Amino acid sequence: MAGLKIQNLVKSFGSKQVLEGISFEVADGEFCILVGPSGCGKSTALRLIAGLDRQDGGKIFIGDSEVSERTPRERDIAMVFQNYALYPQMSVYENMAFPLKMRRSPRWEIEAQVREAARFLEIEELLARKPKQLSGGQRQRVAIGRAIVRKPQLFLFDEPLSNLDAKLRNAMRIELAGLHRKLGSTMLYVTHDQTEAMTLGQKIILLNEGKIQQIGTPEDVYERPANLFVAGFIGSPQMNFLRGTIASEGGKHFFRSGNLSFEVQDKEKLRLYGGREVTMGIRPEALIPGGGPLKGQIEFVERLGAETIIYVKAGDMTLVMRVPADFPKKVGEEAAFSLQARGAHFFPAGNPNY
Amino acid sequence: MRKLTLLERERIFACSLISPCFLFVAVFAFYPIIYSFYLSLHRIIIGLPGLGEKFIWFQNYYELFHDPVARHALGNTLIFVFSSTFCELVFGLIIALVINRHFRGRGLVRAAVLIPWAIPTVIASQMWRFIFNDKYGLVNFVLFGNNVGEYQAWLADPFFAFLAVVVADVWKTSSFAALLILAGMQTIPEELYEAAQIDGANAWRRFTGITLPLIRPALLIALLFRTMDAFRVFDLVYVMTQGGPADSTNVLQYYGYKKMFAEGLMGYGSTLSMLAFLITLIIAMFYLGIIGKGLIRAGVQNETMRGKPGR
Amino acid sequence: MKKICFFITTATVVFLSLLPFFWFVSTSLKTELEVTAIPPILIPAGSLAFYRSSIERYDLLHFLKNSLIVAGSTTFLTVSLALLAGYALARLRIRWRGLIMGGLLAVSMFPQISISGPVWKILQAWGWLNTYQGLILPYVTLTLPLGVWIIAAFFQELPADLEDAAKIDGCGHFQTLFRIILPLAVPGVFTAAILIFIYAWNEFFFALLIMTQKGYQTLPVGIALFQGQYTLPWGEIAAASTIATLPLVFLVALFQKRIVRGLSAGAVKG
Repeated sequence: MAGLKIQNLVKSFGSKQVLEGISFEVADGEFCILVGPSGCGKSTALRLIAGLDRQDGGKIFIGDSEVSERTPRERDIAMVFQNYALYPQMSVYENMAFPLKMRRSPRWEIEAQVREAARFLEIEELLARKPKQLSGGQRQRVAIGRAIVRKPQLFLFDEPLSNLDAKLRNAMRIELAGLHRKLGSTMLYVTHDQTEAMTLGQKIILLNEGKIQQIGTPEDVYERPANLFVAGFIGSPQMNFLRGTIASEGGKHFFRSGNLSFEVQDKEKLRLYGGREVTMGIRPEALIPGGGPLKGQIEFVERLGAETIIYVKAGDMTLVMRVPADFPKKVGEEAAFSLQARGAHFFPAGNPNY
Repeated sequence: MRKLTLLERERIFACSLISPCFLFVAVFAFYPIIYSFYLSLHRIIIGLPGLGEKFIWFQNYYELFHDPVARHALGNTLIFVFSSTFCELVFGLIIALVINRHFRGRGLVRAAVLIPWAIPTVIASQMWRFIFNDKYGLVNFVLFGNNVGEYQAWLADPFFAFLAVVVADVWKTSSFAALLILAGMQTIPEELYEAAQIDGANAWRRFTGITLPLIRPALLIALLFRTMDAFRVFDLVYVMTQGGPADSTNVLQYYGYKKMFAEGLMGYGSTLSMLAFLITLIIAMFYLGIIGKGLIRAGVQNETMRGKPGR
Repeated sequence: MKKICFFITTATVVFLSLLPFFWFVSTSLKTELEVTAIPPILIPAGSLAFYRSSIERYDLLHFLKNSLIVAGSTTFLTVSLALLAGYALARLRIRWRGLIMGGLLAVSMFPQISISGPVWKILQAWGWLNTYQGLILPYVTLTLPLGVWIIAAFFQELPADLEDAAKIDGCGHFQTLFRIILPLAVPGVFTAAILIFIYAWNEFFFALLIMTQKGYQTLPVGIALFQGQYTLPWGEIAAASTIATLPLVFLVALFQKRIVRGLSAGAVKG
């Protein structure tokens, strides 16, 4: 087992610069998620780490050695692909045995390793079958099995759950978390799904347009987003964004946006923004129904069973809120809300869209 | 020496894979073209090696320019190309429309339609030569029945001989044109037709409004391939009419063959072959001008997509 | 109503496509007398005399053997080379990929006459006129474009991450090609082989040129040059033609789906 260190990785394809000098570290045994929207460069970064493409600049370290110039084989890594990449003409057993065969392990050792991995992943009955006879979830497990037989220093996952249906995805997520717990290996996992990132990762790295936006634990990035992008990317439903200004009146601070005006308690957050244009972000669950300074008309109600999401038109903007399932009001009715300071964030005025 | 990068190693690997092909093509295709040009500047007679190979500058070309038979052959070739290509595209379109539907026995129909394409052209030529035969031919029988006195010697008449060659060519290669057009048709999504049906378009309107415009690239490619092939017609003429009667079916490649190998005039024959090559080049460039931009764009798209892996 | 129209069209197309062929087959089964009947007889008596005489007097089996050797060798050689080149062009990063594909396409369009003189001279210089290799080598050159295009198009359909997985599992370039890619290439190779075989079997121009001795001539040349003593031996020609085309008819009937797909693939990608 070993850690991963990336220093200033740069990569362009033709005239398009995909990675603009990213650096991060993954500790030995850590489950790290690289997350971002399509085209942000996360898959490219993964391929560079795997050695499938060559970087234009920067260094890669696995464990104590620099591997920037080495072939994939020499880096001692394993990768699980989005489309599984199982060899169609080989059986499950042969697929899982292949990497060991390439290392010229003795036959008995290969057999032992493959069977152990198969048992671990509960795919022993499938060993004689061919990939096309397997379901999506089974194929994914075989792909994982092929990766773990070699006991590599580093596991790489390239959006492995994207091709599975929602229910299976949830189940596999839990299995992957369990896998990491049992193996204790260093894992780098790439995804565009922020739910996967939040639930699986010990450390999350957010990437956008080839640059790192924030590195932190799930709690870090949710409670203390470093910028507008992170705030808008993490969390579902998406954070509400309002543009306005901060005004200081008599020792109190107010946020003003159009017709809306309300007092903001937490002075720490506002110190830098006095008198300036800001974008205020409000988490849907930070708006509490009942009395309060925010008033608006309910436009749309989504009853999800365990909770309800409502869309309220306040002034000339629509706010999304999370309310308990037994919220009594209906479409067209007026509602009033108050703001919880914890869920309010302030950023320099800008556009959260990506 | 420093260790090679991944990209360099891949390039060397790729080169080693392509080089055998390259070797063949260089020796037996590209070099001969250059050598042909070289030969066309000499007077060479196979069979009289004692005369040697005399360098005569562009005298062969001068001769070619004033050769009425060559001009006639070129004219015949062009008329042949136009008429047969046109017919083949029309028939090919009809065949493609038929095969495009799903029906039981479609495989058999496809096999039946492919047979003319699959058999050697010389055998097809013999077949049609027999069909147009003045005594035992099917055409005479179909047209005149038992009235033997009316039987015509089709292949002895300049006009009908030419027609016969065209008919034989159209018979043989319409199915190939059909396949190319079919490929284009199969890329048209079914939903377009369904939407048109709901909008009230009848079969003819659906054909002219959806099918024809969307198979334009396939039609152009079929046209390109057929034009190139029709221009090279040889087997049919060699077997059916031997260029006659009275040079009415003399075509460029046949005339070139006669001069170069039957008469052994390799220098003059090479001049004819250079002419053939030149015209082919012009046709190709003309077509590339029309379809080329689309092809190049598709090719470039392909390049950039492969260069950027992942999402 | 529409169905009837469709049926009639289809029937007409099939009838016209097969008519000359059936006519020839029927002719081959006639007796000597029936062939020269005027007006022609439509239904033959069913005699195999012409088959016998075409084999005995006109040496048909000999031509058949030559065609098999030439077409078979060409197919084998071309497919092998096209496999390597097709993989390289489809999968590996090559700077002049478009140029190479275009160059191959161009070669397939060269008029035969334009390269025949020099090819003849080269073969004469090497002493390879009237030898098998003298015909096989130009054939390989002529069929390479077809083979490469089909196989390259086929390889492009394979998922790209298979090679990535192989690289990570420890394969070098050659190992990836032989262990992973080649077993998957079989369908594409098969299609290419069929089309190349048909092309090589049917080729006439170069066969006529290079094989002037009867001993080495292939079927198309043999049948084109069938000469009787005073008249054309139509019966024998018909019989020989039937024998020559029967293998092709079987190939087409069995593999029509593949053939259509192979030819269309080239067209759609091209």
